[in-house]
Amino acid sequence: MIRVAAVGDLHVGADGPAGWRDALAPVSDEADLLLLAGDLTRVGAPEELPSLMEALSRVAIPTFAVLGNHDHHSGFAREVVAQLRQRGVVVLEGEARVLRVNGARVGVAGTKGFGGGFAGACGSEFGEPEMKAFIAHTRGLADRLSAALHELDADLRLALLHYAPVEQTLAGERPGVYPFLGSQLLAEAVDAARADLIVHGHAHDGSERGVTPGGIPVRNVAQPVIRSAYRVYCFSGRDAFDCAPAPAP
Amino acid sequence: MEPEYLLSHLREQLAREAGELGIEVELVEGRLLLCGVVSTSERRTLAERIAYAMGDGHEVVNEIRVVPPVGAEAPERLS
Repeated sequence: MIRVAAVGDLHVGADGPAGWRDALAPVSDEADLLLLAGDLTRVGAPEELPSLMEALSRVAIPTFAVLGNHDHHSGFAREVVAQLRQRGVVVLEGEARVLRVNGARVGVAGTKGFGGGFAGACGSEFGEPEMKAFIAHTRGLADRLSAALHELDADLRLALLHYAPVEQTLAGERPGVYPFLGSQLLAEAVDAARADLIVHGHAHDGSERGVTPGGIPVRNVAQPVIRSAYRVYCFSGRDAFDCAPAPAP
Repeated sequence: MEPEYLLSHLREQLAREAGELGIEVELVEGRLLLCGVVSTSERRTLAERIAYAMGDGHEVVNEIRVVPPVGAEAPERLS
């Protein structure tokens, strides 16, 4: 049994960890690893980082993260990444890592992702340089994610994003903002390389569950969507896995 | 100011000043209605203050909900 906890959009500000320290404390007993799906800070400012470190201070399991748009806002994304890495958090920016859990190899590939829209309403690399750059940014991140997943040798394969890869998990948002909430390119990249689960955040008014055209489960774990400190997803039934009974939640 | 511009300017200010992109703003029967979710009551109050400051004299109805992080629900089994 592999237990994967996930949450995004913590939005920890300089005003303190806002309850996250205590809310995340049980995760180390309830899951084997924790995925943080971006927007860990409110505006990505250096003065927010002590609060973020305090928020994560009681997490004692392997933790993987991607940044979100809020973490980039103040222009200190490198500082945010450095602080997280110093804390032991694996920050993924288009690469993958593998860890062993109960004898199984669990692989996590991650990228922030970006916007662009979905089938029938996608932006294209056409026209003004700014429009080309917008879509090229998404495509570049999707390509790196796909490459990371292709190289990943693991029994359980997880994709960690901030932006959404499918429309279903945006249901509840105004359709006009979909192109700013995610991109089909991200789903296509993961479908091409295969994964067992995609988690993302970013869409606060969206829905938790979706699936890619290729059949991969997608979960929007933005905290305003899941309305709890994290979700736990369990995987079992594979030969490579130690399928010990799950502890009570 | 035309309502369309007023609402756009308010959304922009909520993003710039409060870092809040997830707050819905509508003009309903002459009142500014704020909806959405934030994690603390201080953030809810800040959004309301910004709405009054930018609201061109409109009354503000603050229906933003405070949803603090709490423990997880039962795990979901995916395989």
